[in-house]
Amino acid sequence: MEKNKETMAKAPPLAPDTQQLLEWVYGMLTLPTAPTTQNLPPALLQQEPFAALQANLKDLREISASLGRGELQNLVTSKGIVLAGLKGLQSNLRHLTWQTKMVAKGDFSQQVDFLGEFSDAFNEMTHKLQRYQQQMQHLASYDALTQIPNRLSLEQFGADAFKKAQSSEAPLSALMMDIDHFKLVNDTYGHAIGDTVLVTLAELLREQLRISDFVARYGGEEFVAILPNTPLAAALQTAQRICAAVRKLKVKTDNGTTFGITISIGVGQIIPQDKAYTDIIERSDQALYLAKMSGRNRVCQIADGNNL
Amino acid sequence: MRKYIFDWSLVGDIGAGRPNLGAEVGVDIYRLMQFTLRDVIESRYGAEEADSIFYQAGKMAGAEFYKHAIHPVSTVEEFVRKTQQVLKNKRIGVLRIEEADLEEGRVVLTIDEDLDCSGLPELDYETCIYDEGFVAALFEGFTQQPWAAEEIDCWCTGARTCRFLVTQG
Repeated sequence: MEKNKETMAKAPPLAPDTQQLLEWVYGMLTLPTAPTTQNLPPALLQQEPFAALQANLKDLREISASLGRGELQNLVTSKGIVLAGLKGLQSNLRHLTWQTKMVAKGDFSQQVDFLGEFSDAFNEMTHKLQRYQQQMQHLASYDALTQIPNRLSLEQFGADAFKKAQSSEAPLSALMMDIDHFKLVNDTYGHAIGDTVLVTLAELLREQLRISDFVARYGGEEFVAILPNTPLAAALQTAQRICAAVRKLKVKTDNGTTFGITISIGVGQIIPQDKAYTDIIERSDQALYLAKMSGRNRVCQIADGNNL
Repeated sequence: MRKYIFDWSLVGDIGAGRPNLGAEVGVDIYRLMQFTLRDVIESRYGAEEADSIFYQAGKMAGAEFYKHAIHPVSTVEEFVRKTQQVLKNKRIGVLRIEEADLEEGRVVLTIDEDLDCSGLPELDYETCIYDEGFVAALFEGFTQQPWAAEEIDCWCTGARTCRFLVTQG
């Protein structure tokens, strides 16, 4: 270092023009305010290479200052390897901004591979957000106890199934199911056993229905099934089969004994006057009421708004 | 008389035609063809006309490529994702988006490891004219509106990626 200083001190003085040019370039790279060119020789200012150097340094100052302020919109036009490094960083940050916006829209496939450790952190964040979103979606759509869809999911499925059935003029049926004397089960065996009954029944319903069917916990001890492409007669058969399967269920109590349960089912199907899937549910509910009133442990139907 | 009006069938049945060598060929061979062709066209018609020819050829390729490799896509996000996948799988380049406002008709995107130019000698002008046409045609295919693409940074001008400003109209 000392030797360099000595060598520089002994160096012959530069021509004034060269000295001024060096000072101007150094000023462009280091000073907060860009130096003027008024001290530079007029002949130099007219040279094309000087114009290119000036534009390049100006863009270098601009992009450097923009990046320092976190502004990413300033797209400079000069070329070259030094600017390319800063433009590359700017470009990566702009990509990242766009990718973050995509993640915010729910596109968790976005991955970053150009910013070292930050990439790992971003990608991990995306994975975690995706997992959380899936968990939240599950919590919002499924009944926590029985792990079958909840009423919110029923609304979405029911609305879609109704729209499809209407547009294709296909049959659509619904079953409204209620465990008979469920309060008595809770009072006699306790709520934990009551929960076991609900879980067991949910499993049975999943087994008894087709993949294309949909079953949800409607609330309390009530369950609803939507059966697409199913006319009333076929829905009644399904309901009878479920009723019979439930009769065979044996639920274990804490002391090892078992007891049985029964359910009542109301069946309804789509009719031309229906405005929404809830109209079918309403008829199924009326049919369920009939089943309860006529002794429980049975299937009743309402078609075209009339008790058949 | 025209001998080769482009049709996708001209790509041929590669599986049947190259049972041993397969569908891939080196980047050097692709560039050998492109730049020798460019040389002849440029020497015969001049650089400006050669640029125009390459841009139009790129547009034709992009339009056909969109129809056969990307369509159907419905949303902007799906279009971008599918295009990224296909360009990567075909080893054309790594597409990334800096900004995309299709309603405003402005997109800035980059293609890393671009098939046409990555690794070329450095020049003071952008070289990916064919890509410009290709990129513009992808957006035209998706939006069914006219688009233009301009390369604003290129490997050949010192950047380590190709950056395109794509605008509607």
